[in-house]
Parts: sequence; C-alpha cells; structure tokens
Amino acid sequence: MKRDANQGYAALEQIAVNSPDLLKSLLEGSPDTISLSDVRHPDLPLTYVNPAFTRTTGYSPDEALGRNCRFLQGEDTNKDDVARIRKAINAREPVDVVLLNYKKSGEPFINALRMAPIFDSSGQLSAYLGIQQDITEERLRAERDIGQNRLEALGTATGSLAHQLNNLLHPVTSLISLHLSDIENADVRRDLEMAHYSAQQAADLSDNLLGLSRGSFREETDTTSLSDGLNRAIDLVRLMLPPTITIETAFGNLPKELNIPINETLFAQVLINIVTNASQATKHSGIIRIDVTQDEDSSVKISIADNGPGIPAELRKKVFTPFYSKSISKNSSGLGLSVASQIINKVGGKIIFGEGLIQPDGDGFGCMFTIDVPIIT
Amino acid sequence: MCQILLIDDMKPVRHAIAATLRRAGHDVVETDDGNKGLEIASKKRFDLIITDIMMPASDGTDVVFALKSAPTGPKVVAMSGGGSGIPADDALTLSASRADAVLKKPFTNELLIETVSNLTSN
Repeated sequence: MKRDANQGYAALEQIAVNSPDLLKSLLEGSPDTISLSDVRHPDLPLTYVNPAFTRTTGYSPDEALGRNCRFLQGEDTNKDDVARIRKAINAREPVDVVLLNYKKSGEPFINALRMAPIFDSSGQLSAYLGIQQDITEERLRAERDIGQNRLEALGTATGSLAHQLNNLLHPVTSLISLHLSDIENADVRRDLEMAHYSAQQAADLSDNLLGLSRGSFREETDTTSLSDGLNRAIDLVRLMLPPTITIETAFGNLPKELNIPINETLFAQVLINIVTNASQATKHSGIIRIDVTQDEDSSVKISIADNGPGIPAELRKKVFTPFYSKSISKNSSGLGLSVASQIINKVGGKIIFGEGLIQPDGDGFGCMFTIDVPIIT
Repeated sequence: MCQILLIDDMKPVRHAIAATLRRAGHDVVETDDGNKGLEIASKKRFDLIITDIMMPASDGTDVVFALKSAPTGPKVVAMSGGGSGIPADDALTLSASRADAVLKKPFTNELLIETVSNLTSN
C-alpha cells in the first residue's frame, strides 16, 4: 500500500518536473469547480479559482480572489450547513456539505461542496481545497422521480386494495339482498337494508379507488387527456388532504379529446404539488378553486387559486427557486414548485404566479398558480 | 333450470353466488380452482360455467380459453374483480374477449340472474 502511494508520488514528481503545464491544465480543465484558500490569513481568502468556478458561479477570478467564499451564500442558505463548514475548518477536518449558494446573477443553485485541509510534506497546513459541483438539475430530477414512483406505487396499491375490497363486499351485498325478502320482522329488515346500503357505498368507494389506479398513472405515454388527468389527480389529492379543505372545480364541460403533451403521472405530480401547497397555505381549512380556461387554440390554462395568506410581492419571484418553501415549512422538501415548474417548462409550458381568491377577512388575496400548457392539435 | 359450474377461489364470494343461483332454481357445482374446474367439466355436461379470472393456483384465463377453443361446449361467464391497475389487466381483457359475458365484481344478484338467463334461454 505504502509502496503504491510512493510510486504514485514519484509519478507526480515526474509530471511536476517533466511537464509542469500538465498539472496546471488538470486544475484549469477540471469540470468540477476547484478553489484554494490561503490558510495564513484567518479569514481564508481565495487564492485560486479554476475556470469551472467562473462557469458555475458567474464570478471571474478578479471578483473572487482575496475574498472568503462565503460571498456565494445568500438569504436562504441554511445556517446549519454553514456552521458545519466552520466547525470542520476549526478542527482541520475535511467536510462534505450540500448547501444553497447563489450565482453572481442572483440565481440560486444547489452546491455539493467538499472542503479539505491540504498538508505539505512536513505536515504543515498549507491550503484549503474546495471542490464544488452544481447539482441543482440532479436534485430536481431525483425529486421528480421520487414523486413519480410514489404515485405509481400508490396506483398499484389502490388497484390491488380495491380488488380485494370488491371481493369482500360482494358476499355482503349479495347475501343480504338474497335473504332480505325472507325476513318478516320489519325492524330487522330495515336494519339489514341499512347494512346493505352501507356495503354498497363501500363498493362505490372501492370503484372510485379503482378509477384512480386505472392504468394511466403508470403508462409510459407522453399524452394525457386533460379532463381525465385533471379529474384523476384531483380525486387523488382529495384523498390525500384533510376533509376540512374545500376544493372547488369548474371544468365540467372540458372536451374529452383535449390532450396535453405530458405524461399523466408527471401532470398529476404538478397538480398535487400545487394543490397540496395551497392547502397547507390555508392551514387545510380554506378554499381552493381550480379553473380551466382556453383563450387560444394552442394552449390551455389551469389555475389553482387559494384564499390563504398569499405571498408578499417582494418574495413572489422566489417561489420557484429550490428550498424556498423549506424556509417556510419544515415538512417541505423545498423542491416541489421547482420540480413542478421544471416539468411544465420541459413540455413548452410555464407556471405563472398571480393573486388568488379573496381572503376570508376580505383584506387581501391568496395565491394563484396558473399552469399554461400547450395542447395537442 | 341449468347445470352451472362455478369456479372461484374465494369461498364467501363463491358461496354468495351459488346461493343466489340455487335460489333461482339452478343446479350448481362449486370448485375453487381452474384446473379442478376443467377436470369436472370434462366429466359432466354443464350449460354454463362461471369462472373468476384472478385465482392463485390456476388462472381463470386458461379456463376461458380451454372451454372456448372447442366449437361446441358450455357458455362461459368470466368474473373480474373490476381491476385495472393490477398485473392481470391484459388477461382480463383477453378473457373478456373470449367469454360469452363478463361480470364485474361486485355485481348485483339481479344482474347475475339476468346474465345467466340471457345466455341459457335458448
């Protein structure tokens, strides 16, 4: 083991002597951001950043060198993450942290940061190495896949549950109705009719569950019937939310043949994300109104409005940025709206933020998210 | 009155269907598995065979295909738990296309009796 390391070191020496440019090219050509901090100064100013640093963050070496890299942090950067970095530096230990950083443009990105103290051959701390990777896209994709898998699993589970329920309910309704006419005591008959009625209600509920699971949530196609997709997703979200929330819909006359170019599971994920957020905003006791309007031949707008507390104007542009909602609710992954927005953007649509329903006290407006998607003509 | 073979692995379901059929005056032989059902059907003549599709031991689809591949033979009713979203989707559709009628569970006694008499009236 030691010999191997020595051999590697010898090879490095050789590169350093014979082709010093290669070492430089390694740093400059690295696809990951590499930075070095000066340990002689207590504030660890940057002494080197490679071109990938500039590509990722938008800051040129001129703008970055001499400063501590905390200038990448911003208002929604988690303070605990920062504290972990500081602690590792004090202990002279390496650290891996995923934190929210900001580009020069102000755009946030999810940064997978590795920092390590670098010791020279005499064991003296000589620099702090930082390696960073913008993993925003990866995180959003993972979040989307998790949501999709969850919906698909739910579809399969409800299908199988409903099937078993139907099998159990059949003898109940069948046997009661078979023998009901033989019962002479009117009171007993009324009781059994009640039992029969309840069993039928349960069977209807079970049929609704089957409707939810009916194939589509796991289909691979990238086309969804707007009315089917909407109805199924809303039925599902009603089951997921407390009964105290009121969900009003007004799209009864949607033509069945109106199709949108998006996988139904992903479409459901977008709707469920937005409706769940709206319900949380009203503390699960408000009103959510879902409308569909079509002013053009090429696109359709699905708006989800709530009568919750709304979002102050200065924060509105941030609702789609990763981790925004995490700062409001601890239960949130903070990625729901980012993912929703990404899914809709990918099919050539957009999600627009606007003012929602009037609040119960009449003072202001809740939120409205409008999904503007192209239709297949 | 008809001779009916009823195949369903779930005893309560089978019991309820058999009771309904007997009440309507039919003769019912019950079994809980597709292979057993085919064996019984090979030894005795039935006017009608009612089979569940999804059963653990042997699938009802095989029963439907075996019975309907012969030019003459009993009428066949396939029963399904109503389930899409379960792995046997294709089997359900497939056997539905071959069967003389399909009953989606849970169905009413009236629908069961009506289906039986429609298929056996001539």
